[in-house]
Amino acid sequence: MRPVIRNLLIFVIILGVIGGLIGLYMYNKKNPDLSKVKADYALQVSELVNEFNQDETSASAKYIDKVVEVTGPVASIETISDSTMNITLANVDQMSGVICTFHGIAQPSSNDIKEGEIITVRGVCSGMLMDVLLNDCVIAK
Amino acid sequence: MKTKVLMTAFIFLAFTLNAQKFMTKNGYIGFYSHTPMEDIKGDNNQVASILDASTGELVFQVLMKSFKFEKTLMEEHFNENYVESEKFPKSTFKGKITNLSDVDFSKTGSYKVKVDGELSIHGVTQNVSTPGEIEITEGGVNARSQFIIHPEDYKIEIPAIVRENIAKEISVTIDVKLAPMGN
Repeated sequence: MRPVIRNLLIFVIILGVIGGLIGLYMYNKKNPDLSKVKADYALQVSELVNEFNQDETSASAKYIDKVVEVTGPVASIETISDSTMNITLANVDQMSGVICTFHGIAQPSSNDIKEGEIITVRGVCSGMLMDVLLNDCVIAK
Repeated sequence: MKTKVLMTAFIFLAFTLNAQKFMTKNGYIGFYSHTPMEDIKGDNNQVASILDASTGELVFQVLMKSFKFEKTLMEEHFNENYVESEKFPKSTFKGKITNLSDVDFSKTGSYKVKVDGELSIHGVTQNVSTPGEIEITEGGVNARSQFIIHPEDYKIEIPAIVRENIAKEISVTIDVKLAPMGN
């Protein structure tokens, strides 16, 4: 075999292996840990809810799939399973709030958080159903 | 006179509380696809649901974007290629318990129910009929069910390249804890 062809062959094989590894990495990629991610938007619960109430279409385009950090009073804490917990942030004078779903180790201890307490949560926005919904949440310090 | 007004108000209040609507915004709906190639599971813990105990009417609503997967790529494919979440952000089930008389909402316990209704996914509405379980507890009503749906019924196209990875029959699980409304 001519050296040029051999080298080319080795190059193609290496390229294939790298491509395969990147593919495998992409395939196995998990959702990002938001404790290390900077928020795209940071605002009050009331402001986020108002934006969706005023114009759901434009608020959806702006916030869905974005990392949003919201600050507001805890209205309820619901333990759904060992691995999942929902904390609703809402103001008493508003019909809707923000429901924040926490998974696994991102779940805060329910002893640390009390109803009425003002906290800041970072999560990925899924849009608005009856409330604005955030997923993959972490407590923002 | 004053007591009479007060009594009427109280009875009215008791009656409205007794109108017996139950709801949650923290329900669970999951689906599961099993093939020899791959198991795929999507979980949604932000299900809104209302049950009217006087009529047996039952409504579930979810945002498709709230389904979470083990892998980011599954979530992307689900939202972008299959259910097209941007075009069809919500999925709704509207139905009715057909054997409502078998359920005694005033007594704690488990009751087998049959639910008929319409399920809308991906902009397509299909009739669904499924057995389920209603559990009356001190705090409210728990509702559970499991049924099979076929992606093709909802015009969800699976590209040939991943056809072996996605089951033709997707198992759907519903598990919600509803609390009395008006609290």
